Amino acid sequence: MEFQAAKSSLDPILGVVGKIVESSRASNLGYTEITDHFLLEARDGVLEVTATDTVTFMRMACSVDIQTPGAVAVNAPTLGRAVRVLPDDNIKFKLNDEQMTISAGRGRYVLPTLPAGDYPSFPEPEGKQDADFKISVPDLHHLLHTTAVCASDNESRYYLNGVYLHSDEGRLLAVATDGMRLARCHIKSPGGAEKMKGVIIPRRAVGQIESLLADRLKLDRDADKEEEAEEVREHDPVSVSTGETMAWFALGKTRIATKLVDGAFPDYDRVIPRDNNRLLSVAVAPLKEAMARALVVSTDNVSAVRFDLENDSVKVSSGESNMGNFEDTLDAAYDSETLAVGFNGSLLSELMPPLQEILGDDGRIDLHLLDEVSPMLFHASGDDPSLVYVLMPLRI
Amino acid sequence: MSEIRRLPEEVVNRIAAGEVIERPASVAKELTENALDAGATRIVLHIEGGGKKRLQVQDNGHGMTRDELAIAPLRYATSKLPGDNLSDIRSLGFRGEALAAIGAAGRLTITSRRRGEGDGWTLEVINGHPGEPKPVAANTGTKVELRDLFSNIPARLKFLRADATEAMRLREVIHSLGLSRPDVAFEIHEAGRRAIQMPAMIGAGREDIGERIAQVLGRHFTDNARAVEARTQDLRIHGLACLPTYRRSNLSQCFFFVNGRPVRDRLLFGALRAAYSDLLPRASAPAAVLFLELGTDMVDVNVHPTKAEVRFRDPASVRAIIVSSVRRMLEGQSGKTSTTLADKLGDRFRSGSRETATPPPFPSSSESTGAITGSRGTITGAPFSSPSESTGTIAARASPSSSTETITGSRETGTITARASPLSSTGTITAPPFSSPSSSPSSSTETTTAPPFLSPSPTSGDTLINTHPDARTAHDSRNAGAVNVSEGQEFPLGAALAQIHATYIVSQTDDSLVITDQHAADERLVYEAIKKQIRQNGVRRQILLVPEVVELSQQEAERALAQENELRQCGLVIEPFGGNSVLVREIPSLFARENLTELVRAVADKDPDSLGRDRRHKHTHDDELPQTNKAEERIHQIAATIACHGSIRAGKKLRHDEMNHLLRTMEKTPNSGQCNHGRPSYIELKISALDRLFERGGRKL
Ligand SMILES: Nc1ncnc2c1ncn2[C@@H]1O[C@H](COP(=O)(O)OP(=O)(O)O)[C@@H](O)[C@H]1O
Ligand SMILES: [Mg+2]
Repeated sequence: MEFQAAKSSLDPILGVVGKIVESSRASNLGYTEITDHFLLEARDGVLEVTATDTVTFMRMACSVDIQTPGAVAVNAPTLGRAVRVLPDDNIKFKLNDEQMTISAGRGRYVLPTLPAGDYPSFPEPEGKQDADFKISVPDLHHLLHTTAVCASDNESRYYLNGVYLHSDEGRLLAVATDGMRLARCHIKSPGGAEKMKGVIIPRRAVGQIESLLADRLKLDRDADKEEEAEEVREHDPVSVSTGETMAWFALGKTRIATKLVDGAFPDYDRVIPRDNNRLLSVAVAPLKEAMARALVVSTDNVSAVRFDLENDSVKVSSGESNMGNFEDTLDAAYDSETLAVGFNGSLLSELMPPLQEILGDDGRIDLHLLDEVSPMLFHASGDDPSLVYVLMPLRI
Repeated sequence: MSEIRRLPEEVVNRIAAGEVIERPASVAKELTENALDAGATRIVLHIEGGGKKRLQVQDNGHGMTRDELAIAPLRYATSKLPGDNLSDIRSLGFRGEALAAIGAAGRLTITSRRRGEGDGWTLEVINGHPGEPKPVAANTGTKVELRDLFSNIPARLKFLRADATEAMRLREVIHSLGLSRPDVAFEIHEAGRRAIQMPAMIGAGREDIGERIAQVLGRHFTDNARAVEARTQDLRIHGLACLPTYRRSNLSQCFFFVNGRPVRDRLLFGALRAAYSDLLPRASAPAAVLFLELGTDMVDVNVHPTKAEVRFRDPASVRAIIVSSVRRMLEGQSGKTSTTLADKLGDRFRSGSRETATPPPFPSSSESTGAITGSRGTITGAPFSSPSESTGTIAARASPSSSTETITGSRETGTITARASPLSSTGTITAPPFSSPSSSPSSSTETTTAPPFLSPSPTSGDTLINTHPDARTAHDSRNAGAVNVSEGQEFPLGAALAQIHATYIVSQTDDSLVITDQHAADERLVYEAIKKQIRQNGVRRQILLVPEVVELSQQEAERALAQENELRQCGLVIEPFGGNSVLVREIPSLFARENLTELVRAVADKDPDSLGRDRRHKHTHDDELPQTNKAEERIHQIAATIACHGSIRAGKKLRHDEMNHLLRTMEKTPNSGQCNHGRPSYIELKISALDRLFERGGRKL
């Protein structure tokens, strides 16, 4: 195996694909000697780099000059660092006696390798999948970004450890919950997704996909600040296939294959309240700030924050009288009877950024409440919201 | 003075009844043992009123002839000591006392048909006097029915507990017999409803106990259990024992069987505890199902009327085989090594738990509170810096998270890697690493020192040690020494430097290094916080959006539900959910996000009655004890369990501010030098001791 690659095309790839290795190291999940490696495969003028934590596989590719095709596994952190510090130049890779020589200019690394055959093979879809569709980068990013924050990381409820993607009445929906709050986001179903069976994409895979999409969105924004942005997105959608146990996502030359969470997502629809008859409308930016202030004096691991809904205002307070406390009053539209309700402030404030991103700084959100013990529903102001959050109160 | 006389048989039996028969559970035990001795493969119990009103055991064993039946209920009538040899007992019964005692304790009817014979016979025992057997149509096997237990002995009736409690005890007894005989089917019907079913394991030998254990103790037990097996010349042990992480709060999941006989013997429990000694905290107990087999001449089972205790000819070797076989299994599970250096270090460390008697010198909350008033918001709180103290310290204290401490280690070799700036969001959930990579070519070329692996993203986890960004470089910390000193004086536990192995927090004071066990420390904090909330407005409860179904063993489910009220007071709201499941609707807010199943199981592990019972041994006048004390004690127990399960786990990565928060809270919390199990929560190593360890000369500070 022998090839030459431009540092400028290889380095970013190693950075993105390497995140899987990084997170699998950090969590010890799927972390083995072989998965601490990148699989490098050079053929037909293309170098493919693969990483996996055994649940999720990610593969990216770049064009290279190949003298001899071949495949080998190289330690991921070492290769990542080595490439990053080599001079900005053409980097030569040559496999010799199970050792990879990497050279640029007069500098040269010799790294040990493992045979490519030891590397778990990238799962390819076999036969017809349950659903195959294309979805735009912003749409998929929107679905995942707004909901992933609610996915549970509590392994005792593994079936909540992901984002539930499914279709219903011409809509494609993403739903996630941790048992205390829930996010549901939908878009008009892209062609081919109308009949897909629901799948639960594991949290960590969602993280990989989301960060890939975020990078692409950023590139798009940077590349053509003013015009053509729309066009670029149109041209480059994500191809999604979902099957019984796996899902695949492809964006350009990048592919992600992930096992699905094997479990039944709970019937979430019945926990989304429909009869909450008190409506509070408040501007998102001041609420976000007030929440951040309230959390300063949270005394426990859980930061109880209290809302006192009064005529055209909401009082946000936290803390205990003897331990330090906070209160602030925000202007709001509210005309039902007064109501006091408590929340875990962190759970609520984590939902503010995605809302603010959608709404911009002057946006407002609508909070629908029933009483101090029933779920609260909220979303960007307006009818038929495509993104709703449900949060369960805290008894205080 | 009265004359000495021989007591009439009736009185003798009644006295004996008191020894053998204590409650419905003991009746069920004797009758079921008889059924097993008779070779039954299916045993069905029917009970009403917790077994007090009616208790019937039916078997398909070999049954009795008319003549056998006629004498079976007489005292010392037994078919089980053929050679009158008490040192060769292979059956569960042998004393010939049970039926006589049971006959004296209530209305007894025995119906039996000998295998191979056409007729069945039935006989009633009234007031201890067996009547004549009468012919009756019956299946092969024996059916024994006892009605109105102790109705003729009011003194004993008084000691029986509520029907549900008695039924629970009875089920426990049958469960433990069931564990010893997976080849036999057991069923219990309560008031006509089938409450327990343990189908026979088809084709199972007596030793194929895995499935039966799962039936009785739940899959969770078997998932956490490993096989134990050892044999010496005259002893054999086999069975399953659980990993130390599956710990219980009492011995309710420890079962020993000696030659197939369930026994609860202190020697055996003691040996098992010894095997786990340094692996389990003091207040918790292991879980195991173990079978000992030895020559019948090596063990005396005739020690106790209820045959629950035994005496070994060679107790030392029994103890040895238990300790060594269990230990070997446990050691196979963890490759713990200790180096000489660590031992040497250990000598220099002193345990923080012995050092916390004096209250730490903190700005007490009685000092003036500052109020910050902005537009429409107010923050009042204990002062970060009290105005009365020297100004030199204010900067350091006002921002405890911006410490400039030293972290030594060779970053080049990668053993200690600095962690990039921690996320500053306030949530306890850390979102998956969604951050975008900053691996653009320009940023990489700027880096001169060894760059962190891949992207320097905030959540980068490629670290053995997490440090605060300011603590990354060793060289600029020297000139910040002044700050260190003052900071150390303010905070006895010092400023957090790093987290190692996601388990320990390393912090530094002016003259020492402190290592804190994050779980042990937080456990105490959560416990004290719950107690405080209970005292004040009650525990804050997070209502669950999706109530969680927790599956338990039957016994656990009952115990959990029996304490619904106490649990509610501690913030855990549960309700029955059919079968052996309970539904959790609300959880203590402090507990958010941890494993609920584990928690409910741990709470259910403790018999709610046991507190009362334990006390009975200590105080003879149990009834005089105020009821509230017991209840309060129980609530504290539950709170402790919640704290144990709800506190920061070992293995959880902490942000730098979270570490400092934990240390600062510890300093304010009583008893924070120990966790609820009495283990130390931190240790402190004086820098002078470190100097000695590295054989450095005197230090100039
Ligand atoms: N279920 C049964 N099936 C057959 N025989 C029984 C049964 N229960 C009791 N017997 C007979 O009655 C005798 C007396 O029983 P018991 O009083 O329990 O004494 P032990 O079990 O110690 O012999 C037993 O030895 C046995 O012969
Ligand atoms: Mg008997």
